[in-house]
Amino acid sequence: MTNNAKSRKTRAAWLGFLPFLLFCLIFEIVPVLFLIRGSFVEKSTGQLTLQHYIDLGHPLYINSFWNSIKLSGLTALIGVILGTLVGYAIYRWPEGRFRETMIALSDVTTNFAGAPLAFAFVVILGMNGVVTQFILKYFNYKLYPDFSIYSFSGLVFAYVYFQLPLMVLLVLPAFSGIKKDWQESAQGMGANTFQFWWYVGLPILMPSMIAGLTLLFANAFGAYATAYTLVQSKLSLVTLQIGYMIAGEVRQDVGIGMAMAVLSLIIMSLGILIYQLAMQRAQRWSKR
Amino acid sequence: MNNKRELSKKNDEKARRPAAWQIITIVIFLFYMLVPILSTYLFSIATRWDRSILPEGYTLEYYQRAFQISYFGTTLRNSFILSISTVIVIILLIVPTVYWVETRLTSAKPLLDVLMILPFGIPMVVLALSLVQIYNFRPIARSPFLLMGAMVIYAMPFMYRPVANAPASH
Repeated sequence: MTNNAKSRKTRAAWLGFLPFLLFCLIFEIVPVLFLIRGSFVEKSTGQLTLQHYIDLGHPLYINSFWNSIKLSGLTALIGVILGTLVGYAIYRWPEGRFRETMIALSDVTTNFAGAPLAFAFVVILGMNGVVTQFILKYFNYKLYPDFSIYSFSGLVFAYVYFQLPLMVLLVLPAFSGIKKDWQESAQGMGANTFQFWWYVGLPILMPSMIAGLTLLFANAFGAYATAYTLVQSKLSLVTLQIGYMIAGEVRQDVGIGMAMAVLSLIIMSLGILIYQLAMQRAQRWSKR
Repeated sequence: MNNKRELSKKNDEKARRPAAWQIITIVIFLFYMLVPILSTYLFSIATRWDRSILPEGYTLEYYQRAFQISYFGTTLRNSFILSISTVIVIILLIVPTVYWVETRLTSAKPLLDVLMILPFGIPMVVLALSLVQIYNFRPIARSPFLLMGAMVIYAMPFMYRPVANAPASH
């Protein structure tokens, strides 16, 4: 085929891509672009302004960003550490069917987040929760009022519930990058288990763990329903604040909500960038 | 050489049964995962459960009452319709597109990959805020179709990955 005919064919082929592209433009790209533009516009006058971003300096918004970052970072860290441990326990299980069951369970539980999860944790760790009463009865220790499920620490428990399985799912393929004979060779050279992990295992796992940290961070940062059900206005989080703007519960200009949204987008894009880079490094090991 | 063979054998024998730490870790994991779900279920069939470890009595009256309330049926039905329509739209939108890009438009693959990772970078409330702001005119303002569009955006990466990896692995 001549070059002209080929490029004509490609250009025509783009028509087939159009429906999907159009859908993404309508529901994803254009709204976000409008959002970015809107954050720089004063709604009543239509003038360009940085006022919305300046308004973000108000303690309420600084607090909400700080809380969201704290919550996401903490649950991501806990999720990565515990998830790697659990993932390794599953990976080294001798029976294949058990591993698949655990993967299926992780798939289900990581998507259980939201109001039902929040309710489940109220049943367990609420003031009259099962675990609360269990600890009271058998350990004679009163959780309340020092601890409350309707608080930051309560949210951590609920968030870790869906962060843990996500890390398990992410880290399982990474273990296949650590070949078994490497462990045996290390043993033959006199290394103990700790030395093997420190010099060989962990460095190979590191890209996956970084990918896990960023993915879990993004996952927690964007979570809404769980937080709304458990803490509502008691704890300010970015997603909750943006949610209030949508519902029109805040008397202030929605421009602040848009500025917050844009800031969140920046944070998330950084996260995804790091995640993509880390995953590419990680796949270098597992694809050998 | 012999050393390595002996080590292999010893490791294989050890690998046939799970280690103690594995069992403990998995048991705690299962506990953490299943207790909330089981507690919710137990709570739904308990007469009263706010002052004891196990429910004080069992009953199906809550299920009865739930189905008697008319809006419960409506909300259940709405959720089903929304979810199923979302899946149908995704199948109709994604599968042909993946096939098309894989066979006739390989130059679009990077763009497709980016579009499929984009939803992870947009928190749901952010997309909701932007959709509500821009589509605030009569037929689609706050309509189920807007919701379905947003749901398709967030669910399509999960359809994309298995479908895209299937031809690649053959």
